[in-house]
Amino acid sequence: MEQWIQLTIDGITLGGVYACIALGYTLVYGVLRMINFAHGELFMMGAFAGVYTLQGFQDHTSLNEDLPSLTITAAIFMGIVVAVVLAVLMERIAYRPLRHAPRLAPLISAIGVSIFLRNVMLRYTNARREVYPDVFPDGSIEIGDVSVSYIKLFLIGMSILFMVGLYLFIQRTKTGTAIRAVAEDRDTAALMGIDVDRTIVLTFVAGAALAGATGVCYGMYVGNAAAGMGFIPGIKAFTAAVLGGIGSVPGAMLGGYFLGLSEAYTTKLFGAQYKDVVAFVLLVAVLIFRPWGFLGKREDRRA
Amino acid sequence: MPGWRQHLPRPLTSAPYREALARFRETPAGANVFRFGPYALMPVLGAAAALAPTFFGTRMTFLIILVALYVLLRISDSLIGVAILALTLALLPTDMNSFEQNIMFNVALFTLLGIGLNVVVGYAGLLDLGFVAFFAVGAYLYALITAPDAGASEWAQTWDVGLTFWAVLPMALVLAALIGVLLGIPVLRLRGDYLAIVTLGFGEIIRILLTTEDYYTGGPRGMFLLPKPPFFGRELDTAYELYLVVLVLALIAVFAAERIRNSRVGRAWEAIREDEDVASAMGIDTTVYKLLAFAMGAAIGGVGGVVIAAKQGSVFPPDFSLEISINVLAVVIIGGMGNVRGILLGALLVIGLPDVLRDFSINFWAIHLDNIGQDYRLVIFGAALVAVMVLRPEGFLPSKRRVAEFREADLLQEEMAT
Repeated sequence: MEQWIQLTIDGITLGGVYACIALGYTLVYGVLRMINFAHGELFMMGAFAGVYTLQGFQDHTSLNEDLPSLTITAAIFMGIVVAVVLAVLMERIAYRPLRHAPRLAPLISAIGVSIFLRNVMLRYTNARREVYPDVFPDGSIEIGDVSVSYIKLFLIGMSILFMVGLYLFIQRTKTGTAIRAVAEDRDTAALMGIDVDRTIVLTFVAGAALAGATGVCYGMYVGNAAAGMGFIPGIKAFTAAVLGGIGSVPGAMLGGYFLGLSEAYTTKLFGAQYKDVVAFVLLVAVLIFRPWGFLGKREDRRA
Repeated sequence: MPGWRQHLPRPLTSAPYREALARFRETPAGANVFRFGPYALMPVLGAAAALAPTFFGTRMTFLIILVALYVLLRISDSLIGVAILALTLALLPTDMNSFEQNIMFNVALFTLLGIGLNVVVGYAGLLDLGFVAFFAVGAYLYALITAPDAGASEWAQTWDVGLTFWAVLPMALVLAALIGVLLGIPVLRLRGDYLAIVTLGFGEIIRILLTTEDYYTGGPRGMFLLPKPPFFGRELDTAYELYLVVLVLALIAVFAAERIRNSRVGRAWEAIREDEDVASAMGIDTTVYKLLAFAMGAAIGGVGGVVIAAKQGSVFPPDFSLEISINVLAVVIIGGMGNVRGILLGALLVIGLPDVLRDFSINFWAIHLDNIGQDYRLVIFGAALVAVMVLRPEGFLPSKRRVAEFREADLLQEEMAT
């Protein structure tokens, strides 16, 4: 029993990460009807920004010991900044010129961006991992026989915080309303006086900020940053977005947690080597039986 | 053409050049140049190939070949042109050392793979990012049923099948096509974006399964001591002989692909690529035709896998990484989607050039980059994919229809602006 509770907690931890990345896919897909293949790389770049910030603090100050909350906040902030800058650049250079091109063109361009970023980091780090300094307090909470480390709680809490923040941003702010309007019907939104270009950039910014921040938190959780770290979570987060119904914000969250939990239980039931297979099987199963996902709109079936 | 792009030098295919070329072609002298030019180029190319290694070294030779082939591909459309091209390609590596011959083998292999992927991406407009999966299927099939004692695979040791290369080729073709269909059925009812990610996932899954199912595949320890293709009592074991094998296979693939493109099926693919809804309204069963494209691409990928397994004499899971899929995609995109001639040029640029520039270094101002071809090839491919899509989406050697398709949107915009 304890083991299952432990697995559930692991699943929720990982699910939160998937959900946060999946939101970026879903938002961009909503406004552009395009899969931003480079989104996982934003997550990776965020993790690198975080690790270099923390290493900087480590090398030049003693703040990592004295005031870890400050350095962690700074690291997350840097993760957001780097991811946002990259997202704006990639939208400008690689996606915007292709907005009226055939569907295949932006997709290939996005793959190009993804390959480019991953390999630039691979060369920059010489294919090594950058280790996160030991900032986060060790230790765990014991509830009965179940122990949950602080860092896991932190990751769960942060992902929920990010998601709630994004949800409020989308639902309550004027920009969020504009994003939803553009997602619904770009031409009509433009007629209503919404600056479509600006809204699309802001959508990328919102998704990237989330990915960057999640990257830093995830990097702290696993203890390092590596050039290849965005690839598998990227595919899985996309799966999560499809599971929940791509284009749907609550769907992405639900899909993320669903996938996280499925993976955790798979590890127990079939063995750890199959945990990457389950996401794929789920993806194919959803595409066969319910291509519009759990919460997606049915007319999106062929989109 | 918006903004800064108008300051770029005009590509040789732009209207003024094209018109001048067309006018030249109509004069008697011009007609003769176009008719006999390709033939005249053959001895030039042959001489360049034979002499260049002695005089210029590998790099220059490769560059000369590249330029000569580009010109040849540019102007020859006829069957004779293809025949000359094939003959030239077959004779090219005779005077090369084994390093250069290996490069040419890789170029030919990726041309073959590119032709396969091109059916999927270029003809039918479906983005397949897991092409390596079919490549792996072919390679492992070869390893499993040819080798008498294939490394760490218990299955191969228990069941000593011992077929030959030539028997495995058609089997790999069928098996890969079958797997392509099985994978395609759930996904191809949907639009391309999903296919991209599912195939990407599938490519990774295959690699994971090759590692975990070690009873069959030998896991990370792989399978080795695979036999070479037999050929009238002897074995084809040099890079050049295997290069010829790939070249013949590639020619057959080109022939098949071109024939299909000009058939009812090819036109259906084209219609689906341009507008799926309209195609479907015209009575084309889009799922069936998409499956057909997918299966054909997969089949060619499977054949490529058989060849690489025979060439290397071994198979290991890391040989079938995502990088292969990316390389093949880059070959197709950079060469020009939908165009068989472009594929060869793409393979030379994407596969050959980095190998030739393997140890090339840049030391300029504050920039010191070593081993450009080896270490930075993927960085460059990534940037190149974006650049090609943004600047020249039809690739370097595009098919005419493709240009029309990609430029249509631009033209519409320009019209609206004026």
